[in-house]
Order: sequence, then structure tokens, then C-alpha cells
Amino acid sequence: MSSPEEKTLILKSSDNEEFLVKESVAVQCITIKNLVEDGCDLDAIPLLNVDSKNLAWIIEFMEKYADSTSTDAEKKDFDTEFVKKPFNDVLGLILAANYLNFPALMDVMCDACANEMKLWSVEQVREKFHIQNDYTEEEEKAVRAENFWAFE
Amino acid sequence: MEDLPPPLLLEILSRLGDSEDLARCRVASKTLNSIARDIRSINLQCSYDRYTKSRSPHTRSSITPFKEIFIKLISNLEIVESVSMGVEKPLRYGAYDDTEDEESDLYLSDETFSMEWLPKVCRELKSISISDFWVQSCWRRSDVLSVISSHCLNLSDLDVKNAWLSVDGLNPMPNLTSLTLEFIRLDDEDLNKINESFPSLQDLNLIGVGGLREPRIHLMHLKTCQCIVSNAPNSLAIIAPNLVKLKLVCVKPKLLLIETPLLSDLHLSIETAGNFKVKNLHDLRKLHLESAGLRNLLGTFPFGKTVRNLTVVSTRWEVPVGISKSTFELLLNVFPNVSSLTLTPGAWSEFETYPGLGGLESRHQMKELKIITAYLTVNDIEMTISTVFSILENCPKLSDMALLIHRDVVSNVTNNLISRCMAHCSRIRWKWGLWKEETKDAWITDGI
Repeated sequence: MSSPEEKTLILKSSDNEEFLVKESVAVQCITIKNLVEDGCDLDAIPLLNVDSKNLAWIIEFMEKYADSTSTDAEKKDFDTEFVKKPFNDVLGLILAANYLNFPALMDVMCDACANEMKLWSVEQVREKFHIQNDYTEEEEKAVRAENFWAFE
Repeated sequence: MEDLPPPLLLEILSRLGDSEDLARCRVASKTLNSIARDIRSINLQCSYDRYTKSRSPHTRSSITPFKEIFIKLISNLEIVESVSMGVEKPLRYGAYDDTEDEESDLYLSDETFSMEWLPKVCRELKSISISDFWVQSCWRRSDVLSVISSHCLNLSDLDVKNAWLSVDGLNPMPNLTSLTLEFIRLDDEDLNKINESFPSLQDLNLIGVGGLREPRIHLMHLKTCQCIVSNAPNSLAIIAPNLVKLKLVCVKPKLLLIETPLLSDLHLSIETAGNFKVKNLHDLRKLHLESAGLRNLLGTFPFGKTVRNLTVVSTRWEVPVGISKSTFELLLNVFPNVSSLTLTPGAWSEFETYPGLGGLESRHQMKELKIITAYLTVNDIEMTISTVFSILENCPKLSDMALLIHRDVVSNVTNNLISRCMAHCSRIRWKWGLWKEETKDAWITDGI
């Protein structure tokens, strides 16, 4: 039950979908908090770098974390389920959390990402992060030699 | 798909638990390689795989010695703030079969080895964690604490596991705020050197520390403490004027002294208390009490009035003599203001058999109870139900009842119990779950 003073914000995703969120919940994102404190009087806060898919997830996370009745153990269980997403979506959420400056979400998603990367091969790192091998043949040989022990 | 900018890549790379994973990322691209240079921590764990390869005659020569890799990593980084080295399971505890290991390649708390890397990085080093290989470390006494204390003046966190530590030559470390010693044989039987050398400790964890005789923790700035000792210590004293949270697991010390006036969270597990002296616990809010001699313990506990959140574990069922109060009545006597009560299986069974809820006094004392959590074994469903109903009758403020039923209980009995309870009282928020020894509790969110 929200008190009559409780303000609701409208957050608009990059693909123009609108989401209603209580102000007290939304200000976990420091970007939004700053906008509100600076007296932003727009009808809807446009989040140009966050699409509706990510915004829906972010709101789900925000609401769980703003809930004072949920225990630490419950939050942990929630996190465990929340991060079970395809790796690309994990990266997408990290970017969104960074843009919105949402420390709790950043923490959970970065840990999940690092966890996912355990025991990855060099090829897997390149593939999953969509990065090119920008070493020349000689350079690659040299850097492999330097880190030879990781390939034993 | 937008690529991650370097600061985010750095954030992710610095959370990689293992320097080996990081090394492979460095080979993946130049960008990652240069970002990795800014990481200030080393985390090297010896996997079981690496260990077996180093012992097998076929692969022995192609495996780089663990210590050599570590030294190399140290030399790669400009600034090192955090070092963590250890052996992975199943190499960790004495469970490992290979007891005839005279080598020292994984003897990580070796002070000679520490002299090879500590002096290079000690200036900025804030955190050290060593999880040694018990088989090689348990029979060698190490002076590594002396080396660390003479070099690492900025160290704030120290964590050593599975080693035999001497305190000779230990210098004061006024910047150390967190110390964890786990499965350690410590040559400081009364903890005098520890108290003297680490005066600024805020967090102390002594878990399975052997070699203690009359340990006395006396630290002015200590805020949180975990002390899990065997039955060897004769006495145990904790004097910490700023301590807020304490977990104490001991067996039967002849004297137990706790002087912690600001304590608000206490977890006490004790078989029997000989002479139990507790001074001034006026701020105690949360209490977990576990004992085979619960009734005796309750008798000596004068500071229960402030406790709001109580968990009771009875490891040995005691039959009350004659007309003496039941354990539950005793509990309410000592802790009249509890609003959240958790009764583990032994405690609940005791309560079922000797509820003693008849008297007016009891009714009065249960007025603050709001939440009850209980672990049921349901040996006799009628008994369990009548106990639940009588609690409901006697606790006017009760709003939540969370009951976990043992997994071995036949499902139709479980269903019967649940439906009868929920039908009987709808004003309560019911929460049902399943429990079993050595298994994590599971909650059924929507009933059955």
C-alpha cells in the first residue's frame, strides 16, 4: 500500500515503452536519482540507452532490492535465478546498469559474468565478448609464451 | 550488440577469481592484455588437476611449479594490493589420502618462500590470503607471521588457513583490521601475542584453531568475532567493549567469560557451561542458543529482556523434573519480549511433549510473539496439530507461522497437516517448507 505522498515515475525505454515505477524504488539508479533531485519535470524520463527488454528486468531487480521485507537469503536466491540468462543478455544488463549507475545490479551482473568465464579457453573469450584477435602472429606467440603456464 | 568499454571490461576482469583465467583473457586480445595490467590483485589456486600432473611421471616435467608461476605473476604487476594463493578442493583438508608428502612445492606458508615475493610488493599490499596444503604444512612450523609483520606495514586483511604458525618475532601491525585463522595450529596458547600485535582488529575469526589453553581475546576495537574451538581450551574469555556480533562455538570450557556490553547479535553453541560469566548484555537483540544443557544455560542467562529474535537448538532432549517449568515456559521467562522465535527440531519436540501452556503467566508472556518458525518431525500428527493450535490460541499478536516439515514424513500426512492448519486459522500468514539434516531448507511458496 503506497501512502498518498508516494510519487510514481514514468520511465521510457529507448523503444518508447513506458514503465511505472515508484520514485523510492527508481532512485536506486543514481542517474535517475540525480535527475529527480535536479527537479526534472518531464512527464516521462527517457532512458535512451535502455531498451524495454532490459528495462523490464532492471525494474524487476530494483523492486526486489527495494523491498524491505526480503531477507538477505531471499535476495541471494533471487540473484541466483536472475542471472540465469544468455551471456549476451548478461552483457546487455551490465551496460544498462552502468548507464543508469545502479551499483547493486552492477555488482551482481559483473560477478555473474566473471563466474561464467571460469575455465574459458582463449577462443571462448573472443567469441563470447565479440572481440577480434588483434595480435600479429609474432605478438600472439610472445604473449602465449609469457603466459605458458595457463595452458598446461 | 554494443561492445563493452574498457572500464567495464576492467571491472569484470578484476572479479575473475583466478589469475589463470585472467592469463587466458590476456592472450585473447591486445585490449584485454593492456587492461589486465591495471589489475592489482593476484589469485592463484592450485587445482587438483595441476597437482596430479605434477606428481605423475609422464606429465611431471611439463608442469611449471606452482611457486614459480606465483613469482612470475608478482613480477608482472607494478602494484599489487591483494594476494590470494591456495589449493583447491580436494587438496584442502586432511581428507586427502597422500599423507606421505615430504615435498614442499605446495608449502605456501613457508617463510623462505614468502621472503621471495613479499619484499617486492609489501608497500601497497593490503590483503593476504593463504590457504595452505595441509599435508605439507601441518608438520612444519612457520615463521611467516614474523615476515609479514616486518614487511607489510599497510596490511589490513590477513587470512591464513591450514598451517602451523609460530608467533616468534611477530611485530605489531597497527593497520590490520581483519584476521582470519582457520584450521591453524597456533603457538600462542593464551592469544597474548595476537592481542598485543593486532590492537586495531575489528573483525576476528578463529575457526578450528588448535594449541590454545586459556585463550583470552582482549581487543578494544573488535566489532565482529567468530570463535570456534575444540574441547581443549580450559577457559575462554572475550573482552571487547565495542563488539556487536559474536559467534562462539565451544564444548565445555571450565570458565567462559563474555564482557561485551554493546553486543547485539550472539550465536552461542556450547555443550555445557561450567562457570558461565556474562556481563552486561543490555543491547542484545538477536540470539541463537544451542546446547545440550539448554535448561541450565537458560537459568544463568540474565540478559534476555532485550532479545527480539531468538533461535533455540536443543541438542539433547531433557525431561523436566516434577512440576518444574517446560523449556518453552523457561524460554518465555528469560526472553519475554521475543517477537521472532525459531524452534529447531529438538526444541520443538520437547515443546510438543511438555507444552506447559496452561498457566495464566504463560499467556501473558507470549504477547509479543509475532513470528514463529519451527522444524517439525511429525511423529504424531494429532500432537503436532494440537501444539500448533494451542500456540495460535495463546499468541494474540502472532502474524506469521513458518513451519518446515521433515522430508521423510509421508506426503499425505504432510498435506493433512497443512490443510488442517490453514483451515483452522486464516488470519495468520502461513509459510510451509521441507527440511532434512545436511540438506538446505526448501520453502514451498504456494502451499500444496
